[in-house]
Amino acid sequence: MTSRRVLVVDDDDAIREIAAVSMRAVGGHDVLTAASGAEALVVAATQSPDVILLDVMMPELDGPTTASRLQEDDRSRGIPVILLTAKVHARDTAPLGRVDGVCGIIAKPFDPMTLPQQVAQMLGW
Amino acid sequence: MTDEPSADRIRADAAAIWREALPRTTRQVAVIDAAVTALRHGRLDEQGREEAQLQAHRLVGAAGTFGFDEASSTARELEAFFESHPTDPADAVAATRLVGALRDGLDLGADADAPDPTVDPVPQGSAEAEDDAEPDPIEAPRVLVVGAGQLPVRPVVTHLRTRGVAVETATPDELDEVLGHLTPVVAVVEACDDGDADGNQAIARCDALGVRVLAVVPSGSSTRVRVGALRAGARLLLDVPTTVGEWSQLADTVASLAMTGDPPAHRILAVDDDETVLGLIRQVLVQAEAGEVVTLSDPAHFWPELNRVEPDLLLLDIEMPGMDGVELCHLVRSHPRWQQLPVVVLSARLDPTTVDRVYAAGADDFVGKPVLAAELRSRIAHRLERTRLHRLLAETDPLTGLANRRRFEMDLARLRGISERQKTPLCLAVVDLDKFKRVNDRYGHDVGDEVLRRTAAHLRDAFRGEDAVARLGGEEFVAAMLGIRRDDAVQRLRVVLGALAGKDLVVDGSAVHIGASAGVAEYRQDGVDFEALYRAADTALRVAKAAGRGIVLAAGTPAPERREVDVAVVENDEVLGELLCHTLTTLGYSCELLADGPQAVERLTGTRRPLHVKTVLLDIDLPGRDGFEVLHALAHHGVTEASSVLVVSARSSDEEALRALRAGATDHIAKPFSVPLLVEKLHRLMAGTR
Repeated sequence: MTSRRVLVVDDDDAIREIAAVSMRAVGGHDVLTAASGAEALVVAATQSPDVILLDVMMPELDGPTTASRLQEDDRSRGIPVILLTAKVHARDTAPLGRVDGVCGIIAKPFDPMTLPQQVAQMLGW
Repeated sequence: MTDEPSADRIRADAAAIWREALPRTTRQVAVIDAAVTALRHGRLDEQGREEAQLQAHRLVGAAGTFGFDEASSTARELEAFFESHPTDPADAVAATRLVGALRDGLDLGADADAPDPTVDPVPQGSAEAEDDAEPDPIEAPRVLVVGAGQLPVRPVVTHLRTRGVAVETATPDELDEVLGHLTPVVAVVEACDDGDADGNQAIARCDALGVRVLAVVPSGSSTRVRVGALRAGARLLLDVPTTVGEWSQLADTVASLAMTGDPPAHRILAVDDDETVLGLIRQVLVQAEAGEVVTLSDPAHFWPELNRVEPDLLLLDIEMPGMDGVELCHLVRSHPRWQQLPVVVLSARLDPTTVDRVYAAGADDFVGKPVLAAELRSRIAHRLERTRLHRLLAETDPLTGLANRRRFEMDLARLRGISERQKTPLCLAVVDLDKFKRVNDRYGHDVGDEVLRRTAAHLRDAFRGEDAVARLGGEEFVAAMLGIRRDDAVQRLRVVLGALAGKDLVVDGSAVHIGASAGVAEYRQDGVDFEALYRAADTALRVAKAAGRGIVLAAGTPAPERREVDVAVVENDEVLGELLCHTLTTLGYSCELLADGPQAVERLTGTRRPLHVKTVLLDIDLPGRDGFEVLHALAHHGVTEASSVLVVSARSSDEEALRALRAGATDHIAKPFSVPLLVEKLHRLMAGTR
């Protein structure tokens, strides 16, 4: 598996850290992190990550809104976005898949040992 | 990648992160628990329900990810429960069981050795007693927030709940009803703008019930409004907060008032040769619940008694045989330990000369004889309250609300005592923000101050319970950690400071990176008193700073091996690379050739054996990893700030040069280039590098 640059966005410190550790140590990727949608927009536009793992439920800019904003900026348009969510009902998750730029949804809780593999499969890495 | 993806390592990292998040998790459970309790008493409001649903939802993801699968599904049941908008108190029984299961599933109950004092303890295994109609006194809200329109109530509630403080709200109209079934410790009351109105009545109502009132006045309020609030009984007066920092300061103040518990037990030492006067004083002060009163009728025993009792206030009679009160007062003030002790003098004579002598001797106040009960009570209460507030303020860093050095030294002394008694380790960390001066220079002091406040808030969240944290000044913080050895403390600091990077600030569209380094010393091993521990930790911090940024080192660790060269040449064309290196070496520069992108990133940004260079000569046309990616990685790790980067590209298009410069390159040169021109550029870049 080649090394990529991954941006992990979650306002929950613990989840952000464990996802970062997982992508870094298990996946062997370069990991950037952001604690809010607003930060994610800046980091995505300036650091050109290969994929963005984006928490759905965040205060102020939530995941879907952040995903749409990413598409509005030339510098971050087209970066694949994978949403992380603890929602389980199809009625909740189905609309998320239709947000521009979203190419996958991973359910929380996730397994840190297999998260990078899940991401790689979704993106065909 | 060099690291073996080892499951053990991930597990260890996960465990460390989970420990770090434990106080937060405890608070999340407390919020859910409070909502269930409120439901049991038929008092669950929409806000509480929503908050509980949100916290349960968050726990679903967090608990499961860290391997607490049962807790995750219990949290999901609780989320669904609150999502159903429960109103029937009967449903609370099942929900209480779920909360118990959640706590068990998260191993929170087993952690009895390290209770979080900010969270109300919850009785364990009392499922049978759950139907008690009496509100559980332990879980009753300690803070009541009374808003009259200008004070945004919700942020107050949210800030306090995240500090584990149970909160109830009321409008001035509902106040009587709410106070009927609830006696909070602290009331946060919005003072009213028009003199005689509701705000002041609300303050007076709360004060009459013995509730400590913190009045909040709209900023710009007149002196008349402020005095009105104080006259009605407010103990503290704050302006309606406008910034995040002010909000958390308000919440900290309220939380500390709410947590310090009911009237602080003050000790008063009263010295008078007349036993009847002493009897009267004792009676008055005990009735007023001013605190514990110790009396002394023989001034000859004054000094040993003072040091034994360690009073919070001293009451001295002026006319005594042998040694008078003025002399005793002089004696008290002559010792540094008692400089701050409030002294109130009793005297039958109030002539100007006596008054002058008394104040000159260092007394704070005067009570005439014969003693009037009301006067004595109010002067002493006033003096004690002022001392307490004064102490609180004198021990707090005004910018961040953290403890200051003075307070920290006292905390450390206390922790050293615990460490000795319980034979448990104690560590001290000195934390210093990286490149903070540059933040101030580039963005101004407002941004710098916000960075300090965010750092302080993060450290305060990270070090709770038995830990202590303080700001020493500038960008320097200290933390004391009980029950942890030096190497573990280093690991913990790495996680805490790593998470600090997530608190980056966005100013004018660019992220202001917050990073810090730290040094850690252990009590006994590296020193015994604050000075020695600080010195040991600070020495380690300096080594860490010299090695790079974001590094945490234990005292006594030698500096990581560090290799410095003048120029790193990142060039995949072997012939060109060798040629450049040869040329540079003959010109007297040390040089290292890095043959591809991944190697360049690894060598220039890796933490193991970082290569420190003055200048990077980067060919942008690299196979595998595009030179721009290398450039981004260098920028991300701060290499473009510490070193200059000269980008070489085959195309002389302006666009590519511009792109490189924007991505952090210092200069650009197009291929084919003349070697003298390249050397001249390098020479200039290096002359400009430190």
